Amino acid sequence: MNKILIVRSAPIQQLDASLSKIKQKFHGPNISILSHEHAIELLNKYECIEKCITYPFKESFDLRKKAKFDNGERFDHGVVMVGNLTGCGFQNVLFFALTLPIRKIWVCNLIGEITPISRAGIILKSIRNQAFKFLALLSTAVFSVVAFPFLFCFLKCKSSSSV
Amino acid sequence: MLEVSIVMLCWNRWEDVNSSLSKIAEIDYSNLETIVVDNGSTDGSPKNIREQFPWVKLIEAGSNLGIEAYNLGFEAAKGEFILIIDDDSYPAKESIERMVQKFSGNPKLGVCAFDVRNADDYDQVAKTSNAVATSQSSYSTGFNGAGAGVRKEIFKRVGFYPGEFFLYMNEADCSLRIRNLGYEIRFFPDLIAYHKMAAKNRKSWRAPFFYTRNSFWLIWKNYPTSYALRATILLSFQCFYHSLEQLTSIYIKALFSAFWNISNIADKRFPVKEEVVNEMRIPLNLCFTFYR
Repeated sequence: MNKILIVRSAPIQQLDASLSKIKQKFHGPNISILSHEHAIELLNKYECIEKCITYPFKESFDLRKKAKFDNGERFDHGVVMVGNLTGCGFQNVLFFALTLPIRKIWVCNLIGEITPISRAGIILKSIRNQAFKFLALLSTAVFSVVAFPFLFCFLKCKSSSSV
Repeated sequence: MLEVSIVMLCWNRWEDVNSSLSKIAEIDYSNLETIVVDNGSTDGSPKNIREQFPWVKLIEAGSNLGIEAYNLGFEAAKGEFILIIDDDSYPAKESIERMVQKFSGNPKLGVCAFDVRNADDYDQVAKTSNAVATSQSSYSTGFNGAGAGVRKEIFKRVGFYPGEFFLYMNEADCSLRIRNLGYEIRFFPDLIAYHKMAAKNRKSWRAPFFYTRNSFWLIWKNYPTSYALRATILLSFQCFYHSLEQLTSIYIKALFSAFWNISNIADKRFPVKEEVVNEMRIPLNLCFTFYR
């Protein structure tokens, strides 16, 4: 039986719709799910999920903040849920998936299409994205010089009262 | 006193409204009213609601006010507790009574966040037994406006939904202010709301634009100054980065719109306590996951 790990990086409502497709794709697998703490109780309500693993951080999935697994625990497949068609905007989760004890990485999109993604593909994309990050950093610096004095004044002037 | 007011907003989605109100009609709870605020629908929704659901209190906003129209319903609500739903969502039959019990048993409970599930699939994948809340996470989250119970008195104190947002991030804005008053926002797995999920890509500019612009406004309205500056730098960086990654200008437009129209929130900045920002999980990068 395939052992799979779902990374819950999309709304639970989407998981409701995608679970049957995941089960079908991997032929009735043994399913574990990795999720933030606030969703664990809700995920325990699924009939077909064997184990819920808590991601022990409040922030989004991050390569530098690793999840903890039982000693030697490994999965045949890792399924990263994305809330759109292409996975754009979920690069941090895909990069994070590289740190998980899984043999093969898949992406399950908004309409339940499950497609494989190679580790090399994720790394290449992240190299390209480093260039984007550099350009974004420059743009932010220029923008901040112009806009932030104004924003600082706004925030300071309007900070006098509170609820 | 009336206990519960269900408040729904509708705009040109008669089929969904019809389906949701039909489900609400099956709820066997006497101390309840249902209010529908119509946002200027042109598909005959108001007339149909009047004819087919005469027990519904209909408020016609006249034009599309966005989420501000909800406030007309909240203001008119006679219930001590308001149950907020979308035009394509409805609560499970037993959830209203459970919600009232939870509010009655805990005076510091400000919001009962429902477990919002897919209307078409959830019952097929869920366990048959009803789960009950046993623990609370170490941080707070907001709530989903497709299913949330709110104590009206508290909701009114925070000014209901931020009308200037028009669409999206309104729940996060309210959540920060409710937590700042010291009231709890709790998820309850045994409170279920069913929601239709649009299984298609959101190609529209509306979601990424309003989510992004309102994320800036959320920060500027509610965060203490140092937090707001830090979060603005990070979010601005993300706008530039995701514009390149997704080959779109929508995030940059939203960034400029947030600054250009900052006067819309000029008299609405009430910074919350630092500990509230620290203990809440507000996923500000969510806005970059809708476009393609």
